Amino acid sequence: MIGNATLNYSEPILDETFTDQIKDAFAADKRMPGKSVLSFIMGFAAAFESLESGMLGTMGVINN
Amino acid sequence: MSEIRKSDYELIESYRKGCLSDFELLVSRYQEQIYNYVFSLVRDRQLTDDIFQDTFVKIIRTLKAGLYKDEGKFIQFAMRIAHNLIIDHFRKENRIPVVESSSEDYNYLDNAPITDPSVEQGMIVDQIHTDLRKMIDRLPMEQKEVLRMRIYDDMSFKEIADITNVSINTALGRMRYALINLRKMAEVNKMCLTY
Repeated sequence: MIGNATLNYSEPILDETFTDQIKDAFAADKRMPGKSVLSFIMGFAAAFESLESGMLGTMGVINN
Repeated sequence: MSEIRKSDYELIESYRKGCLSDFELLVSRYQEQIYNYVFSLVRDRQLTDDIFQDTFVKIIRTLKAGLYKDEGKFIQFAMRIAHNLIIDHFRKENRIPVVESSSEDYNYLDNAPITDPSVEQGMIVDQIHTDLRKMIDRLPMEQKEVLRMRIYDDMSFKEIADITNVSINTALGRMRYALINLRKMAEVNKMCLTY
């Protein structure tokens, strides 16, 4: 039992070799994001930052 | 003296106060895991780039809006966003897998043979990985997802259930059927899954 729920299944038992093979198959297929994608994300984060400060600045002007 | 590693929460708070380099650290900490998770499900480099990018755009918006509740599980939060974007994509494309996880009648036998004839002659580790990868690709998305999260990302079923928005029972069931289907595929294709 977990909380109020009854589990209908238990975790399947896997032999170690099979687990390792699945793990290795995923690992062998590894990719990394390209530089352009990462640059876009950092650019967006920076733009969001400036936009936010800009907006706060405007609000400051209005408040004054 | 080694530099003290900042926690995810410290990086997030620092970024919220305007430190971009701490956000960059956060991205670099998890980029590989998130990118590979997306790629393993969509199997298309361009699409993975788009979904990965959109995931971080949503993360940035959520963090900056102060809507992120830290429970020490940034990666789960990030993977939940990625998961939802993948589901949205398949829905838009009308390609959402229709196979029920609870069904043992998944029709993997309708697919073309997986192994190359050469496999029987001299099975090498790379070939096993490639064939196993092909078999994993034939699994319904939700089974593939649980298999990856449990075995490769080493997540608990509770974590998997949270990310994929299903009950623990459903996550366990999906795992069970993923393994049943993999074993059946291996059997049908006369694949020996040992080195």
